[in-house]
Amino acid sequence: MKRGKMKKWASLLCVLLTMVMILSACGGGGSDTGSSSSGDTGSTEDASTGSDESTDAADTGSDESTDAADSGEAGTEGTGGWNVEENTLPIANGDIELTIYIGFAGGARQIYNSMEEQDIIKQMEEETGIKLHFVNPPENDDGTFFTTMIASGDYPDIISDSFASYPGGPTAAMDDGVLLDATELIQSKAYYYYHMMDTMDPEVREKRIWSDDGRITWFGTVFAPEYLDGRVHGGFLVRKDILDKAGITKLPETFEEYEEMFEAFKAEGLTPWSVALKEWQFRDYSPVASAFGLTVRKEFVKDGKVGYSRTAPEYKQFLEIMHNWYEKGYITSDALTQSTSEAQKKFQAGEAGAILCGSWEIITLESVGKANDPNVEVVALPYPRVNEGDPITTQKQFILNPDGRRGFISAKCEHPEEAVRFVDYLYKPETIKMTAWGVNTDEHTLWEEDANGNRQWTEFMTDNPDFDYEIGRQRYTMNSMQGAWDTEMEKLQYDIPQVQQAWSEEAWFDNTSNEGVCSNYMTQTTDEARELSQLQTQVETYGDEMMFKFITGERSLDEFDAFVEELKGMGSERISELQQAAYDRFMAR
Amino acid sequence: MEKTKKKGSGFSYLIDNIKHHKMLYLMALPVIVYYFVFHFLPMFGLIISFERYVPSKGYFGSEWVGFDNFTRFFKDIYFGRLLKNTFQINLLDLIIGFPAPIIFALLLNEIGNIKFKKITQTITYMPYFISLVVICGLISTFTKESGPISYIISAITGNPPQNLLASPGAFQPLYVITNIWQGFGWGSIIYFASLSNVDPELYEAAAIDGAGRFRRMLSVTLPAIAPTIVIMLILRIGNMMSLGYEKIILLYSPITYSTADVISSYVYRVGLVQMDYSYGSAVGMFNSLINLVLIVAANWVSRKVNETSLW
Repeated sequence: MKRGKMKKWASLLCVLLTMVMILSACGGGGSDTGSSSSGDTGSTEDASTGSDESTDAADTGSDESTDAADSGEAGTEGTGGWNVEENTLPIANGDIELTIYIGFAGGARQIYNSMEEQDIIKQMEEETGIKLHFVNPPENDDGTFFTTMIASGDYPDIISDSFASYPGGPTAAMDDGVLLDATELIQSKAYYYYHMMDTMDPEVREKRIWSDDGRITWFGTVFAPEYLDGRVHGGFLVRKDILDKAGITKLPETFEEYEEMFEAFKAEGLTPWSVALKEWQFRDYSPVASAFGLTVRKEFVKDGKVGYSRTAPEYKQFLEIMHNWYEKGYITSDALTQSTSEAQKKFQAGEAGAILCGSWEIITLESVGKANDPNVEVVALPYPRVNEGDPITTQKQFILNPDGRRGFISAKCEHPEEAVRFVDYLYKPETIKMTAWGVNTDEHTLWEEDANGNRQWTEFMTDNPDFDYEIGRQRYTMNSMQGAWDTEMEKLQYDIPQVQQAWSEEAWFDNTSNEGVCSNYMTQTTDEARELSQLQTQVETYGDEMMFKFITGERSLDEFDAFVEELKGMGSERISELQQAAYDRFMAR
Repeated sequence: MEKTKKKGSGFSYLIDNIKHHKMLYLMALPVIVYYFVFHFLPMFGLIISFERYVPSKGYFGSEWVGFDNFTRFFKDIYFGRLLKNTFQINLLDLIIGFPAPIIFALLLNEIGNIKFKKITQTITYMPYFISLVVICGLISTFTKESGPISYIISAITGNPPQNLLASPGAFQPLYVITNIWQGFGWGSIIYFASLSNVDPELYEAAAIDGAGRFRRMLSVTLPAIAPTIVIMLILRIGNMMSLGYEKIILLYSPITYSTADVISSYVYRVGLVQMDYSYGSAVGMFNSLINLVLIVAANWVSRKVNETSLW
């Protein structure tokens, strides 16, 4: 009897286990195809839209108003310590290996299995005598590759990331033993880095590379040349041919004029404003909100006081206009779910009238648009505002230290000195030229130099039937490892009338100032930073969701006051308080 | 004394059983190893939910915070909503989704034409083998303002077409319906298997007694596959809290968080995207505990009511 029962038990167990095994095996197969197919779509998307620079400029933003600050106390923490010895090559004799975590551009992925195969990397290995290995996040990664890498406790030697997603930022990562506080090493070994900053405003240097507690946190970043500095790098781009057709000759500037323009687009059967509301372009350029001195989701500064945008009374006006535009069909429901690249594709396909874009994207947007319809012409607009000539007070716009990514040395690095010297080598003028222009080899000539030393791309880069210019740059140059952008190369990209128009007073630059935003270079103490990241995540997640609901009308704007109360309950005031302290310290640096 | 004796005899019995059914146990071995390595060993990592875990300091070096992460979750403003959404989506999926493959199997069983039956079966499996990422890509394309599904919905309701994934009210139905479409063919396989075991003589006897088709289905077929249904139901309930979060992550956006955000997607966001490892794992552990309670309860109810149970 007992035996029989046990037998039944055992066989049932076996059946179940086998079943589970089959099911789990299938599950595994399924997810495999999943990841590979997502990778595929990723590469096409990247090819059509993505320059690496777009993300670079994304995280930009700094504060222009340095003159106001007292530079007298700036150097107390750090400057005295600089005692740099020359960084002579080679750094090692082929006996040292460094592993680098860095993004691998989509265009290069199409023809190279790994970054080690790229000509520039081979050249770097030869010059420095260091063997390089790379760890790359998958394309279109949502950031979880990085977070799981950090969680694993197994770190590459050099990590190229902003550490913005790490709770408490880079200084907390140093305290936690994820990153090395390399300040002393940098002050004694980073020869080219030091001399690059020497050519810049010394006040800038002292103000921006340090954390408040005297650690260098901006080593390995990408410096922008003066040429790109102080520009407004993003805003509205619209179809000029349709404006002409509708008889709109003056570029729209006030909300009324914008609405008139949107009506004209609507009459042509276009989506008036193809925008991706959940993406950084909308948040960082902050159109509409900037007319009221606010940003879409962050803090703002007014008369030296830091406030939280979403709890300011003017935020309601921003929401009213957005809701109104949604109701009138100027913004469609797709705006809530789509990505920026989807929004821009609509514009390129001639289905949309206006988009938000960065200055580096203008040329692609126009040329692809023209390929579909030869009549397409684009023009950049000034930011919308209530009355003509009103100042636009907040926006992330001025590029100084453009890249949020930096070259951090991990705490697990066995050769910190060589790692610092390698990152420093990226600031060597010759290296900058090489990463900007690529390496000419027997197989291809990328650029030619005339007698005066001026460079031009060859037809291999500009007129290649196999790839467009953007893909070419991803394959043969190395944007992600540039110590600074090369002015000559950048000019080729930006010295075109469309970009110059966008940068002019007539469009994005029109009466804008950067005094109302918190600088990216403000720092908190580790404890403050931890508290801040936790609060920000909570408050921003809730705020985003409600913002969308107010825009679509899911929630009535009568509930705005309750929304503000809720945010305050979640700690928006504490955020302003923490940021105020950081702001004051920053201004006093 | 007696207890240990009993235990000893049980163990020697197991040895005996293994000797008799070597092959069966051998077949089970990889699965047992799999569960041990991938499901039992990692449980050790749950320790981080009681710490403020910092990867570089490891399990033993991180600061011990006790139940802080759990109390933080219970006080979380999203706690109620997460719990509600988790239960709501899973219950909908269970109530509407669970019977679908059974009904399908019963219907198909009544069809005499073997060829038609086979083809139908094969076609209905297919969506199961399409990668989830592709499925979600299809769903989000078809539900855009210009997508065919939005168009059909707008033709029925008379409203202008809307992006369905941007409307909180549409998320749960969309999720459940596409789940059924994906899984009902595959899910019916196990019922087909148990249907083929039904003794044909029973049908004959029922037919002689004057039972019609429907009567036979109710009185012969259903009782025959009832144990399978019950086992599947218990397994399903055991999986309830963790089911399908990848699909939610692929389809939701801030506008639909209010109806789409479930505990497991929250764990993903907090633990992996925002690097709050300890908090994420505390929330995940809470989820697993609910799961455990559910499966034990379902098993208990089933044993009381119809004497079929997992253990």
